Amino acid sequence: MTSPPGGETGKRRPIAVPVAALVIATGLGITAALGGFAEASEAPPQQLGPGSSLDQGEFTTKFTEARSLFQRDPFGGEGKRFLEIELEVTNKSDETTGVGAPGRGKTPGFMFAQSLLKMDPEIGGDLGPTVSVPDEGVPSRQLHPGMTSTVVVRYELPAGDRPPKQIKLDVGVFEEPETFNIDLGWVLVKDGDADDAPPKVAAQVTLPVNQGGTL
Amino acid sequence: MSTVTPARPETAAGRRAPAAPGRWRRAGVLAAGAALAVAAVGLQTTGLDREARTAHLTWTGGVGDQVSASRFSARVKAVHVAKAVESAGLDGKVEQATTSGVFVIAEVEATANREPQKFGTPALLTGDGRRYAATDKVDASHTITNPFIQVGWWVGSVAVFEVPAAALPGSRLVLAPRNGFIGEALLPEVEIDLGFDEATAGRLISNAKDVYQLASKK
Amino acid sequence: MTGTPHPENEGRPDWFTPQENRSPAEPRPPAETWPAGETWPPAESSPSPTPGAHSGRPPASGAHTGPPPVPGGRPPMPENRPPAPARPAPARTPGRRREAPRRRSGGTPPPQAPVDAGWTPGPRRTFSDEQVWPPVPKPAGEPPGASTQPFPAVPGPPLPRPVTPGVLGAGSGAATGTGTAAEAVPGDRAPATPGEAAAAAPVPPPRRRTALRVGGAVLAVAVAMGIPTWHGYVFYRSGNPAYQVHTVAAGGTGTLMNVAWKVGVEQTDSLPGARPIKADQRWLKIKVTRTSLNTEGVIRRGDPEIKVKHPDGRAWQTEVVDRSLPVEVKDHKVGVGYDYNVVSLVPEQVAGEVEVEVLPSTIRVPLEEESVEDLFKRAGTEKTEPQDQVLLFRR
Repeated sequence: MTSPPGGETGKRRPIAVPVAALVIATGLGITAALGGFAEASEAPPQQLGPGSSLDQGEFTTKFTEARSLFQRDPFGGEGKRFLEIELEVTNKSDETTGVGAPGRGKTPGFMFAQSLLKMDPEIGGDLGPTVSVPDEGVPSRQLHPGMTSTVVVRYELPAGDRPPKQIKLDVGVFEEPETFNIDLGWVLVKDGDADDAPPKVAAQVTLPVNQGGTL
Repeated sequence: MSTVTPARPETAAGRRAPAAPGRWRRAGVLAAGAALAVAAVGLQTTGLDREARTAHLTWTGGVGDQVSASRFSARVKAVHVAKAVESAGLDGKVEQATTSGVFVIAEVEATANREPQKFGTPALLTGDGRRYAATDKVDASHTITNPFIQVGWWVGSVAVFEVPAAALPGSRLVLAPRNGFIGEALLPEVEIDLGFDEATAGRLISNAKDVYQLASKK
Repeated sequence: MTGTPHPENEGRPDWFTPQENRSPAEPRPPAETWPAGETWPPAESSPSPTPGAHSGRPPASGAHTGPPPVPGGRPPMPENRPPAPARPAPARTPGRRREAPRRRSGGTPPPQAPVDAGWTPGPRRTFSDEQVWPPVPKPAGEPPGASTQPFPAVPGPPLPRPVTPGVLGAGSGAATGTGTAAEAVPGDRAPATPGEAAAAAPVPPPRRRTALRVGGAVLAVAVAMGIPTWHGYVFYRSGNPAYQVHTVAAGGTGTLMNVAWKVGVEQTDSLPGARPIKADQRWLKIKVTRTSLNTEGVIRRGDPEIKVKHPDGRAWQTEVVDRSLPVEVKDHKVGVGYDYNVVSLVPEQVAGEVEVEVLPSTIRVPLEEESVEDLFKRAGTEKTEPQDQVLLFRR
């Protein structure tokens, strides 16, 4: 050694890595302490029956009934059978929206009816159900804020199929997520944090199918 | 990571610029960097959100006023409240639309400033801050969204809304040109105050016609 | 990097030394740049890169036990002195010098320097004491910069010299060391003598590169603002092409893309089957005739865009009532005129002034009936032309 080290050498230690590690560890610790890593509580879906209501965030929905309908073929054919689900939907948001359509396979649903996640038994057919507000003179597909509308979801049963005795609907709820600066509007609550997580089933509605109606 | 300190002679000697920064200077630089980062993030939050970016430029006025926006002018001639609206459907059959609230029918006129254009779906902003789109129970061919708004003359039609009776006070009618396939930002719109206070709204509702018949414009 | 390997600094110029005294082939700067608290050459032998953490022992490796370091015939070094620039200068090319620090920064420092590839383990050599301080007068024959003898720190005030901000406060230790060294090694290197150091004064102030920074900032702002602006303009132009207007005299024929176009305008107060109009409105019956001049013109048989415009920019809606174009391609004859019958409703005052603009379609419709596969095959192979050519027919 040609010369002794200066007295200041102690101050030159590389501290950035330890400090960064400390900061990260503290952050993780705080996150963990606040429950950031805890699994979301897995509340089982609410079990609802006919006539019960569900708060879906954007809407309040009353599941009135399910019924089967038969439409005679005026030309002497077999006729058509339908399954109808009647809902009373109140738009609680501050904007007009639509009844939309439930998702089918890869096609995502939209607007109100996307919250009808799944029906058991599933009803096939080429097209999805029609969703509308049929009973106000002229059929409508709008849900105006602050108004309650009778929404009917109608499935056409494949030829020859008998309508089910009862159906079970998986229903999701909406939320308006707070984001940094993007307004996403109302979206379905997801079952988990992942981007591709499936929508969360908030309620399962079991409706007996009232048989024998004709169109 | 550099923890250069003044006591590093080789740095001072080995560099062209003897700018081995002092501790305070380093702290200052770090603080400035942090301040810049904070400012950048802060500026982001002041950025327009999606709603503001796609918002329209609004010209306002009252019933009977000619409200001139950049591309068109519009005026509301009269406002009616009814319990039902009768109009011809697509197939020509007369249909009567009912509602759990009331129908608000605004008679609207409009003219363009330079180029032909059509209106998008009108909206009704109510006093409680809700936005009602024009009802789909009246076919669009009967409403102001159907005709071309052109230079040189006024085109008259109606805008029909469906609202709860209690929402009427403070309502404004909003008209904007239809947005193209490529969404255009900052479209002009007019917002016309329908002049409903509690009293007029109450009177209109109690005097509401049972059925308002939309004259078929043909 | 507290433990900057010294070889990294070897090639760097002394901050106070005029640069022109350097040449790439020159050995590393004189030892006075390695003052207090440092050893030379430490990095090769020191497992810990932290300055001050050197053991104080000279490297034990044989790499530094080579020939006596100072070519000028200095006394041999004592064993416990750092055997200064042990590596003979000629053996180290600049390229290798650069190589060493890179290797070190990449991971664990090899205990033995990779600098002298030809080194082979051998018995450790010892040296007797060598006078370091005060420096031995340098023989005249020694080339400048040949000595790499390190110097101990000598406490004392720095030499008076121009002080730039950040130097004194930041590097008083360095200033002390270098200043003293410069003072203490007269003749070791010509520019380092006090006289010449003073002559070199005012020391060129550290270049702040203000112009570079300002230029960089301006460039950054220009890029940050320019790219979105340009993007927005391209987007705008995608919907609003810059129209190229070809004016056609009244009653004349305009030719674009192998098609000749002709326009006739007629005013009328009523149209059969049309709704009655107001008193201040007029119908315009417009006949737009197209004549394909050759087969390419037939390929361009897409419907044109037809506008009715006043010279002041106001425009009115037009509607094509019917067209006499043959449905089948084979019936489409070159040289035969086909008509589009168009109506437009305009205010009466401008009915005699408005002009017709025709924007021919740029789509090339093939002559043969095309199968879907052919259509897909063709898709994308042709450049889509913007529909920006306008024929303006004067009245």
